[in-house]
Amino acid sequence: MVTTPTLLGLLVVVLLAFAAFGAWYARGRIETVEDYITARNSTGGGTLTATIVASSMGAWILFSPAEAGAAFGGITAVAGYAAGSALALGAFAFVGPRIRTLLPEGHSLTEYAYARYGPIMYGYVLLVSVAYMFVFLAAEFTGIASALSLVAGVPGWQTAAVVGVTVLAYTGYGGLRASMVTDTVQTVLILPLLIVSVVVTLLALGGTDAAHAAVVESAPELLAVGSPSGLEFGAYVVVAIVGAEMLNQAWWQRVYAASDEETLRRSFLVAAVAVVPMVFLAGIFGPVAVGLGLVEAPADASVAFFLVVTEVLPDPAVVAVAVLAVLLVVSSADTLFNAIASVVTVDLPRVADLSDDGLTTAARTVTVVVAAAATVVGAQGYSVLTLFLLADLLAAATFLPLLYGLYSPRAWSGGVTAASAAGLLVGLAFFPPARGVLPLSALPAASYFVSFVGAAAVSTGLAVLTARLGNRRYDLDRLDRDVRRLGDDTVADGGERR
Amino acid sequence: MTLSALGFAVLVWGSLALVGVVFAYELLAVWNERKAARNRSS
Repeated sequence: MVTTPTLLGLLVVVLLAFAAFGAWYARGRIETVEDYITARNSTGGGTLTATIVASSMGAWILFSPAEAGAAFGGITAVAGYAAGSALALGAFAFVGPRIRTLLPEGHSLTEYAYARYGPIMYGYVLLVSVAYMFVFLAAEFTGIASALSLVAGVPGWQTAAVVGVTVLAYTGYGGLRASMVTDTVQTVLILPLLIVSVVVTLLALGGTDAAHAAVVESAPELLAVGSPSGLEFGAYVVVAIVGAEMLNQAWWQRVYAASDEETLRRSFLVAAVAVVPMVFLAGIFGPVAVGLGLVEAPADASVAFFLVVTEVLPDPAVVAVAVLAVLLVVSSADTLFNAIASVVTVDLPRVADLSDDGLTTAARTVTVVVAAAATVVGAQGYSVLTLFLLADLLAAATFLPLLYGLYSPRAWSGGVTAASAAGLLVGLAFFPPARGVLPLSALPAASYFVSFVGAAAVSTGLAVLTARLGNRRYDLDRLDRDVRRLGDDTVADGGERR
Repeated sequence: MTLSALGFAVLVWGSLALVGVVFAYELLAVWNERKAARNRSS
């Protein structure tokens, strides 16, 4: 078995190298809060694609797709996971240019929600977005802590602390620019490491035929194409992922960071194509782990990838996989640190009169707080699955009414708020974990499929219906006038922004 | 319908090949960006 000091020492070296690189790159490039949280129009196609791939591919790809493959419908469920991940990014190739057109000086989705729908929808979107991003972050820290504990017995708090402190070092200093440049290097390392990890593991198993035969012998249902359970899982996971990712501030930041609309469109589409095989390759380890008899308890499914790796690979290869996992965490964590900080910072001018330097300091302070909280939560080893699903459900009931306002002048605050609330009520009524705490036994059986699809369908239907019935007109050009750059004190109507 | 051994192999190796293509695309795109940035600054 790989020893704790060996693995921890290697990780410290790797992470310090990234911290030094990120800080070096950002030196002299952060002059305003705009540089820190937006990096507007600064990023070309290669870097943008790399940062999107790195940011979306957290350590979750080594846990969730394999778990889906082992416990939620086999290869069909994995395909659903891949489709959901790709659709979420692909959607930004179309929504992103619209966002840039209507809000060319914007920064965040909450800023859009406030300008378009007012304070109630803004508060709701802020809550859902930050909750989702923080749970995502906590899940990443929890996942890597459990993975390194499994492969080398590293105590969870040590893993969380090393990752949290080093990522904070460069993200806190260099903001979005440091995050994106390190993402580029991380992508260039992650892709070949993933290829090598999968190939070496397959060869150690005796090739794809041997892996296939093991699954066919023990659990052939996991290789059924279009299995009902897999299709059901695939359908609701698509809604869950797309909904949550549309409210992920990290993507809104990258929409603005793109050098132009064509770069934005191409980068999100290339990233969407890239995540499909990555999720699929990680996901097949779920059925393979079952085929090898390594999944003995339900909890084992979530670490199926690592169970296979530690079972068949020699120590040096296990170390390489551990480095891959840490790179995946780091590439997402730096993104989320800065994304959460940017959401809060953009809203500060509404409540406090801060100079540009003051806003930058505030953004760095929020980054420190987020990093500390994620490190502490990640070290506890909590199960975050239910929280993740709840955040996904909140997003599923919100994202379509929210985005509807980008396209329809008829959408209005009361209508979309009521639509989101109704969608959430339907989703909660059929949300399996809610049955333990809410008196809903008179309703038909709970299911994630009905919950997520119902939440999205009801919220969308009602948002459209209220828009039609409301007979209101919103001038979408107002968004451009109401949302200005930070530090730009004037608005078009001549008033003071802050 | 159960995925055959051949189908499984095609999916796995096809996915690996696609990740390889993305890797090559990334390397090339980032390299070209760096080169263009160097040319602009010189």
